Amino acid sequence: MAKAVIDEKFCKGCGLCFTVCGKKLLKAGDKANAKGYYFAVQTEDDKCTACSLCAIICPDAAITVYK
Amino acid sequence: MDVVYKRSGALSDVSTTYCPGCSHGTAFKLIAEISEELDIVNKLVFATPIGCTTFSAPFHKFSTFMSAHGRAPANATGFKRCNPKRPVIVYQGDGDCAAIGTGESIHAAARGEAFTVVMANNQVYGMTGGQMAPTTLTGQKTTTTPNGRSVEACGYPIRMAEQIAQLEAPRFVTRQSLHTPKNILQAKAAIKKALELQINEEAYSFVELLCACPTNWAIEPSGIKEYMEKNVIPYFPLGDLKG
Amino acid sequence: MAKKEMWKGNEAMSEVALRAGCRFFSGYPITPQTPITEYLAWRLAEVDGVFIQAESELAAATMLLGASIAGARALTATAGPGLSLMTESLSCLASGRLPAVIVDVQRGGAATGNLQGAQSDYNMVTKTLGHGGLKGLVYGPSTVEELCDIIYDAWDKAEKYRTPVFILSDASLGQMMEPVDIKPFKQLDESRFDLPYVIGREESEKKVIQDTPYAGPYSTMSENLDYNYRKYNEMYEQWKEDEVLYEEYMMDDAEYVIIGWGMAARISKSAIRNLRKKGIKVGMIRPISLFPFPEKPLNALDAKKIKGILVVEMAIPALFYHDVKAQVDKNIPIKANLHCGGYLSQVDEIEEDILKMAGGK
Ligand SMILES: Cc1ncc(C[n+]2csc(CCOP(=O)(O)OP(=O)(O)O)c2C)c(N)n1
Ligand code: SF4
Ligand code: SF4
Ligand code: SF4
Ligand SMILES: [Mg+2]
Repeated sequence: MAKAVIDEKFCKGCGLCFTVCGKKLLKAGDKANAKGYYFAVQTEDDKCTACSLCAIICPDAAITVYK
Repeated sequence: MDVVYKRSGALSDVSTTYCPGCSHGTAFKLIAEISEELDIVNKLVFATPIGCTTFSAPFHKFSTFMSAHGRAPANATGFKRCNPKRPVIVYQGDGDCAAIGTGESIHAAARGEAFTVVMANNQVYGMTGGQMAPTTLTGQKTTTTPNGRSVEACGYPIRMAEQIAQLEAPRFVTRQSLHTPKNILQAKAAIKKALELQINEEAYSFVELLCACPTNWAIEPSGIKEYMEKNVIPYFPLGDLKG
Repeated sequence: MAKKEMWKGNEAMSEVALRAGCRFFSGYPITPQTPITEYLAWRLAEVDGVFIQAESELAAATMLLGASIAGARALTATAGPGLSLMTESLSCLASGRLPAVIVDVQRGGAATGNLQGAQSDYNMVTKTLGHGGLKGLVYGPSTVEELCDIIYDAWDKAEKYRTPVFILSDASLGQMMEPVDIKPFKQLDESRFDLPYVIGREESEKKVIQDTPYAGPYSTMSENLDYNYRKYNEMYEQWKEDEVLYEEYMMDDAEYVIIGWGMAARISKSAIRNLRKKGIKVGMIRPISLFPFPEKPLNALDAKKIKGILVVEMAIPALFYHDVKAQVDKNIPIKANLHCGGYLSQVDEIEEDILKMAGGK
């Protein structure tokens, strides 16, 4: 069971990770972080392949990927 | 569960001040990852430019020194000649490297100084709010080319990597991009190669990174990939120019 | 006392710099500074030092900055238009509190000017090093021996205060041959190369060197700069107590005082000797440190005793003259003898000026 965990402290809600996830598992959450960004969340983590594309493109190194 | 990708330990736990989607963050992340892989976090000296990355010291764990706008290659020359054991990355914006600092850039490269230049080419002056850079594309609107950059008034954008590649001393000159995961991994391999050449063979290398400045391009980060492929990469071709 | 040898000013100061521990020189050829660059090109190689012929003075002074950050005793030298290009780095050195030594072998005129000696860069380095209004120690030697003495101690001072040290030589001093004591080598500790000049943050092995002191007790940059530059200013004020250097020459019974520095003062000494033979009681106060400026000996000139002051200076418009005028008793008549553009001060003119003051004797 793989998953991508977004650290809300670093996420700026840029959405780059949304565009690269082949499974479309990432989206903006409905909560804002301390800086006011609606940080990304992963939906349906059972479909995650741990491909890490989301983490690689994240400019803010906010994503940890587990497998 | 195993961790397959995590935030580099060479980054601090301070969130950067860059805009959402800004490629400077990606470039820093790669340098942090490489410095861990090469086990040089405590040795690496990062020469910062004047631009959006001037105040980047809190975001990572390497030592840093500042330079005046465009002067980082000269500053790093003095530094590295006197302190040759420290790996040095000179990080510059396109304005820093290819406008105000052109002389310092070319001559440090011509001398083959033993450091690695990473030039973040985002085709604008990010820090000062989106004026024309030496790399601004023909037709591109900026605050100082409100009708789009015209060749008559401003000439053509400078391909800096090509300028550096025609010199004898540089060992490795390449242009990479940070707009897709695949390109990011290639850019990482290039920076790593450049650093290894510096550490093992005292070689000068130049890595130009095509970067996005979504704020001054006035586009959403989700549009970066298309913008890069349609406008930027055709003028600034990717790949190794030397070495 | 060590045996003195005949040396030209430029070469002598270069050799003494090396013996003071200088192991880095970056420069760009410009007359009358070039002999320094040429001398150090071969001489630094002999001692495993670093010599770089830079692509411009802009780059040369920036390389100096980098060498200083690295921990080396670093030197650059220039003249005229080269100084204009170096001011960017002078500002960074002063603001980043980085030690380094800069020699200006002054030449005549502004812009391209000409190649003979002058003193017209006085304001440019004593008032502020580049933009931002900060200071460094500034010296104006008048003999080759004094030039050597100053540069021999320059890095000790630079490192003690973490400040740039600026030496105003000139074309004549650089080319003149005089007996000097070429001093012994100073031994330096290798530990100096571990990024010693942190300004900002030092967290275990991470060191941050900034050209501006943003770090401080406050939360905003402006408050911290205000706070830090205030401290810099306290140091500059303290220099007035601890670092003032000047010479008094035949002042015991003097009724007329010549005030000058560097080459102008040296030329004036000949005039003083001639005037003394004519029975005129004339002496001289010669500032050696130009910043800090020797205020006290000038403040002490007594209007009851001193009948006139002649400031001799190789600059038009006058620069140094105004600093002198601000410090002396308003009741003492003061005149200036000025030349510029490479036209040196003239002994006979100086004598004439003093004789006129003395009532045509
Ligand atoms: C001598 C000098 N001139 C102008 C500036 C103002 N300035 C600061 S950053 C900058 C442009 C930076 O653009 P670039 O190098 O492309 O970096 P970016 O911010 O895009 O990363 C300018 C013009 C300065 N700091 N110093
Ligand atoms: S790429 Fe990173 S910063 Fe951007 S939304 Fe995804 S997790 Fe957040
Ligand atoms: S690791 Fe791959 S599959 Fe999983 S969320 Fe990230 S991009 Fe999607
Ligand atoms: S202005 Fe542009 S270059 Fe600067 S941080 Fe924002 S996106 Fe990045
Ligand atoms: Mg830019």
